[in-house]
Amino acid sequence: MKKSFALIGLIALVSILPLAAQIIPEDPFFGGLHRQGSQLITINVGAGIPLFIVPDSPTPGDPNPLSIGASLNIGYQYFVRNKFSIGGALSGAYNSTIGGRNLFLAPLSFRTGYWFGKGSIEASLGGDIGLVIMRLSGNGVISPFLKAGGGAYFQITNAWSLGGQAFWWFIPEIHFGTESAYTRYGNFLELSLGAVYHF
Amino acid sequence: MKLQRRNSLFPIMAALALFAMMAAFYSCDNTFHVFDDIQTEVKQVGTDIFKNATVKALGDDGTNYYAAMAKAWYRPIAGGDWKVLPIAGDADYESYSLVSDGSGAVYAVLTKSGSPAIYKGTAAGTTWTPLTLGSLDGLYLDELYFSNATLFALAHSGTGNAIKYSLHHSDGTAAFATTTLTNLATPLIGIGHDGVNYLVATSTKVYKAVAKTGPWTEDTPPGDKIFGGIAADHANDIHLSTQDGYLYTWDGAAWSAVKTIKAKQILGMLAEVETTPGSAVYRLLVAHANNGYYEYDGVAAIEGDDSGTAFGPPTSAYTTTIYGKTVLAVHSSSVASGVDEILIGLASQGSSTGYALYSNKYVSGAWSGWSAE
Repeated sequence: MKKSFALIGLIALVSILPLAAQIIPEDPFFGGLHRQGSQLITINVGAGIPLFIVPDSPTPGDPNPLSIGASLNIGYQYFVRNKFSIGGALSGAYNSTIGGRNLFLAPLSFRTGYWFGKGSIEASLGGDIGLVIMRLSGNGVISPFLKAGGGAYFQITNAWSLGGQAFWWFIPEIHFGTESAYTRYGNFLELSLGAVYHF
Repeated sequence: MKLQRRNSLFPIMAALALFAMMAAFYSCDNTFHVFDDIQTEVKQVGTDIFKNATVKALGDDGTNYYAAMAKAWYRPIAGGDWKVLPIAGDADYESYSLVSDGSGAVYAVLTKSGSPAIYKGTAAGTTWTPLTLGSLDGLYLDELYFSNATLFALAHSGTGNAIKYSLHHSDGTAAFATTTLTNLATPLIGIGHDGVNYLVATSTKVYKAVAKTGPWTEDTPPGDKIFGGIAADHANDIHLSTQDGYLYTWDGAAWSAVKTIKAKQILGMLAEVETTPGSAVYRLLVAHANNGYYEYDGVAAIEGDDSGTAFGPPTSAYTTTIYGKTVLAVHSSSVASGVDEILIGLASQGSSTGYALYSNKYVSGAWSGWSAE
């Protein structure tokens, strides 16, 4: 557990350091990389932290018997306007349960982003909406999926930047009719290190 | 700094997304409740000896449960720890098969110093008497079965392709004697008695005899199936599972038409369990390859974590214990025990987190759900 928290702390630190360190005058479109028509691919690997799972009427102590797991994220974005991008992302995450099972999450989402930069640092804020495939004990469920957050990256070449991102995952697992009592809302935090490739 | 512009990847991404969505919809079942299932989980803390182990057979004598797991293990039905069972004052043996007769006796196959033996245990497992091997002398002992007040022993001779199996019987006191069921190329998978006939099955054939000694005649249901398990129920019907997902039922005179448990699924051993003690309502638990069991009520089969399960709610009590494992033995506690409990023995799981033995107790009008022993 201590190692997990240490790793999360490292990821968080790397994620915010670039934002704090810069005093270089802003380039409005980050050397053209955030101009309309530009494209980028992001790849992130990190921790998937289960925050809480609640029913429609949450009560204190709703159990969340998941442990910290891992997350992977691959995304593509296209700048439809200067600084504004749309795209998609395919993610994956897994967490183990106290019963020894593994929960796998595979969201497929539409993404919008706002990108900005200063000097060698670029950052983004954005959100995703899509569907997530959840698998547990061989059973699969598809649920809506939302996530919001941002990232910051340090530019190391014209095309590549390295950094990290933090996103809140919100998964409403909604059931209807006689099964509506099984509706739950899962909340996870993705903290990850990653790279951005501009082209 | 300016990079060369390339064509948008949107069409490719859209196509990939569409493909992924179709695959996802095909593979998902939205009647399952992921987060609720997780929230009802209970950490399973069992006895270390059952971690990543195999419990091959189970029984009880009204006072103790017994489990065959390399040695014979026992614990009081009223509660307590599992311990190695000393047999005739000796715990230095190997045991791989045991049965109980439902009347207070337990029979166990042992190997001591390389020599096989069969012991009968009485007086709550405190008195163990060796049975005279008789016709089993010089043979390799494979399994014990108890049916219609008769103790049967499967044994074989030879090695490799020359192995020949034979069935022997005893009343639990007298020396074993051979039946006429000999020279079988494959082992038996079980024995049932319909009130008149004994039915025994190999993986491909079923043999029938009125007398335990024979003569045995073949009475295999049609269909050229490979069989997985055979067991009699409370009405003396005999059920036979197949390794492609079907079930035949013998009603004392003929085999039924084939019934579907789950097509194309490998089925194994069978056991009948009363859904609620005293209700005279039963279900068959049918082992499903390495994926736990199906519950079959005579009309439809469901998986152990499906809605409508008789023994598994909440579903996580099944999915964290039995699901993903091979069921080898199911044992309902005997009436004499005064306890309504089911034990289930599993094959080795290949992980250090799974257990080989779980129990499910009926208390306060409901099954407790499976929990590690």
